[in-house]
Amino acid sequence: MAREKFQTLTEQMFYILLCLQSECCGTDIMAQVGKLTHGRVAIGPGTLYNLLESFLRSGMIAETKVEGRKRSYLITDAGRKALEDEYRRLLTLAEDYRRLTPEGGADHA
Amino acid sequence: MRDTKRKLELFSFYDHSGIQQHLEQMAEKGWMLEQPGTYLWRYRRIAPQKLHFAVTYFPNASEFDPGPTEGQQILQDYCEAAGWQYVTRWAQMQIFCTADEDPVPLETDALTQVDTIHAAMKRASLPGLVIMVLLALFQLGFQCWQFLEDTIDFLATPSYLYMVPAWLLILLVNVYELVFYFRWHKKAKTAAETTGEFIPIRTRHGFSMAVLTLALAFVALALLLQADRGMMFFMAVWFIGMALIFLWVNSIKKTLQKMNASRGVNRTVTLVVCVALTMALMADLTAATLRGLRSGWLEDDPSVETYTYKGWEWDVYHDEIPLRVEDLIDTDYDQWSTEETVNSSILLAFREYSQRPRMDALDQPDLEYDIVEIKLSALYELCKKSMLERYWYNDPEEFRSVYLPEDGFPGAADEVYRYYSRYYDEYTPYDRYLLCWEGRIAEIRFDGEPTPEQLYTAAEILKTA
Repeated sequence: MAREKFQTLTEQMFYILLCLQSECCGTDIMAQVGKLTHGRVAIGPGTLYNLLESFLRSGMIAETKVEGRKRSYLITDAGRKALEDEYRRLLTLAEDYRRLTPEGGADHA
Repeated sequence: MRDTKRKLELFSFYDHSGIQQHLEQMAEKGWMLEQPGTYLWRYRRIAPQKLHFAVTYFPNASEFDPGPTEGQQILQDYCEAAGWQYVTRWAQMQIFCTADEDPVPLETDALTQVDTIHAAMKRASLPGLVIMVLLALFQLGFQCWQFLEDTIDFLATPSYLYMVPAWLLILLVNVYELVFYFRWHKKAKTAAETTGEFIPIRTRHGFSMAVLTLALAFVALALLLQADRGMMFFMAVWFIGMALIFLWVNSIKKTLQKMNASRGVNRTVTLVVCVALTMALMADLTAATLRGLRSGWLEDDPSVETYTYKGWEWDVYHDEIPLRVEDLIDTDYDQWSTEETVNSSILLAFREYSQRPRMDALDQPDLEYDIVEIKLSALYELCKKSMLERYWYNDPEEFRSVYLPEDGFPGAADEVYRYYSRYYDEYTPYDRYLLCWEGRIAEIRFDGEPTPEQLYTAAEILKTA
């Protein structure tokens, strides 16, 4: 079934929005995500550009500064809500996992 | 040793994995891509090296842009920050390379990648493919109409006949590309949404190009086997002219790009020049063909002499014809004009003959006949039906001229029909007969009612002519 855009966030979307809690430019985001996730998540430059454009179009981030070709962005309320929704969704997943699997601590005795 | 080379590359526009792999192989051989194109890609010599290539798409770019757009430049900056060097761009396609052994891929989100490719395809290749499908369907519909209008002429004319497989192949290849693309897009979109994986594209562009080459071979066949010199001239100049226009328009587009003309100006000028040149070619070509036909140098069989009668100039031909008036009647008249017109394909030959006296001797009889030689027996009934219904036009049934079986000449041919004009239930016979043998049909138009001997003589000659 087709997924509604940004209803759930991919890892790349999640980390981009997370980085934009404070003002960042594209290249900063790439570096920050690598650092934040200890290299587990890498955002390719093509993906980064396209996601930033999509977030801008849907009002989830806003352009804050333009210095030549360097553009900086900041998350908006809509973006914050999407991030929070995703966080809650992940918590629900984690909670269900914890409740239902021995590895998560569930009592199957 | 040459430092640049051009190579025919057969890739679908969206086959980024195939292109990446190929460019990596070329770099290992010491060639770096300088400029891709529709068919010919230009490379420059470099030291052989192991490089990784990445192809990405920028849906908002256009082949008419004077340089990379601001967005493309920002993307280039991101790529450079990630260790990717800009190589070149072509319309919506951008190509990067890196010497890093384990680089961060340009695209790391499958869904975004699928959506970006689809957005680029909607602007780049898909409209062209849809237009070609519609054009091929229109052409095939037109060929069907021609077939129904005059089956014999259609089957005997190479330029009609061989264009059918050519257009069928063009239709096939474009439908194949469209179906292949949409199937990939559906699968890739589902996989990206459900598993987050990107399904690589595996196009068989080589197959498409092979089919297109076959289509071109049929076009060449249609051109070369066309006995009609006027038509051959028209088609040959049309193809050469269109190729030249394609080159001119392309060079105009490139010149405007170098002059930094905006996308809108470049697109408008290029389009206007393309339409103007095509219309000029069409007009000049039609005029040249008409002039050529009028002057005789495009005629397959120019007249051997002319004479003037009552202020009009009349052509005289001296073609060899199998059945002559002299075979049917005794006459001392020797100022005949005899003409033969042949149209022949692998399926059938249609030959038209006439023998006419000069205009100052109209008391002499004339003779006209056509021979259909059917080379494929399965077409016999179809051809016979077409000949029997040759004069139906769009007349209502009660006025429709018909061929009716004629029993008066047993043995003259396998079947003999006589032509009647009809007015309700009143049938008026004409001196026009259809003679049918296995693999051959002849229509003969006498000037006056033939005697049985004359018809038997004509049939005997036309049976083997």
